[in-house]
Amino acid sequence: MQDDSALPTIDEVDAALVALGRADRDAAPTPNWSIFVRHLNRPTLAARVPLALTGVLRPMAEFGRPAVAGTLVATLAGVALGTWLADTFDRGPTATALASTDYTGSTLLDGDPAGLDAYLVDAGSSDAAADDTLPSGSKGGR
Amino acid sequence: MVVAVVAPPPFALSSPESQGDDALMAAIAQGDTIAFRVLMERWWPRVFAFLVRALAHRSDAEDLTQETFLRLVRAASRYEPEGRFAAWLFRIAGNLARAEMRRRRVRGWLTGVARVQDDAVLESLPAPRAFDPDGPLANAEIRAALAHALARLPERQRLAVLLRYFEDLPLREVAAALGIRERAAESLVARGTARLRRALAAHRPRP
Repeated sequence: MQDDSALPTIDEVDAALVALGRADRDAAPTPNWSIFVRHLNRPTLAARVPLALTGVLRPMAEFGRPAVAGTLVATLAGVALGTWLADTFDRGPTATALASTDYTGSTLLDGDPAGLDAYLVDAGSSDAAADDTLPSGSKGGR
Repeated sequence: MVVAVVAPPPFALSSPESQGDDALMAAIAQGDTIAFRVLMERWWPRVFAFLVRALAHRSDAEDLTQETFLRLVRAASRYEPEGRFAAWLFRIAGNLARAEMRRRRVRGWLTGVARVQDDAVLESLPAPRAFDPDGPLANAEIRAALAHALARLPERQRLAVLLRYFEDLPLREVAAALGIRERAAESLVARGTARLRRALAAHRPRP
């Protein structure tokens, strides 16, 4: 740990900084006025391009800001990732299992070209149709 | 008898040199190039001094001083005259300096070049004749030590110290220029000054 008495005081540091600042200011180069005149006299964006285009260009310029551009990139990346993941999970694993024997009961929908409607109409009522799908021992409820 | 009512002179009749910064900014917003010239001559050396010490690089400071004033012109119509022109101007300059420091950091990572280059720090110092022979920086070694110590301060501490001591801004304005609270600005200045004191200890003249 350095002894405090060996350190320059804050006033000494202050005086040194002020002296350096003054010397830096005195040594400042003269501004190149012509650059500013050219800039000041340049017609504005609205004067150079049609108003409708200016109306589009001005908001577009916002995308040049790092925060806005960063947000946009993150959003696009998020949407792309979400779309890719949704597509992958939606498809799921490919089914490869095959039935080893045909089950005649499966004709309930597949075997009748008219499908379930025709079956229900044939059965007379939807309740009866539902009862028909139950195992024989359980018909009639309790 | 006719009584002549003498109206106060209109704003434009007073000379731009005698006008305050806020009035000049209002005139610049109306496209007054003379007002801009007056304001630039008033503040150019101060902005340059701030940037040359913030970046420890003379030509970078020159470019960014120019850019600061170009931005001033572009933003003149949005300037709100609250009597805090210095804080507003140094906020622009400080933001540009920080962006340049970020670029240097990235360049440093990519190329392995040191962020602070000793040669550039020494070259950024004014010629010896710019210093008072009886002043605290009459000795070239102390000048170099101070410039190196400043260049090695952490970014925010360096900017806070420069605004407080170089530009003599009150802490409230230092805080406004850096976009931080006054307490935080005070802490940055105190820590920066403490580091400078330690760095200059070896060069302190013995009593």
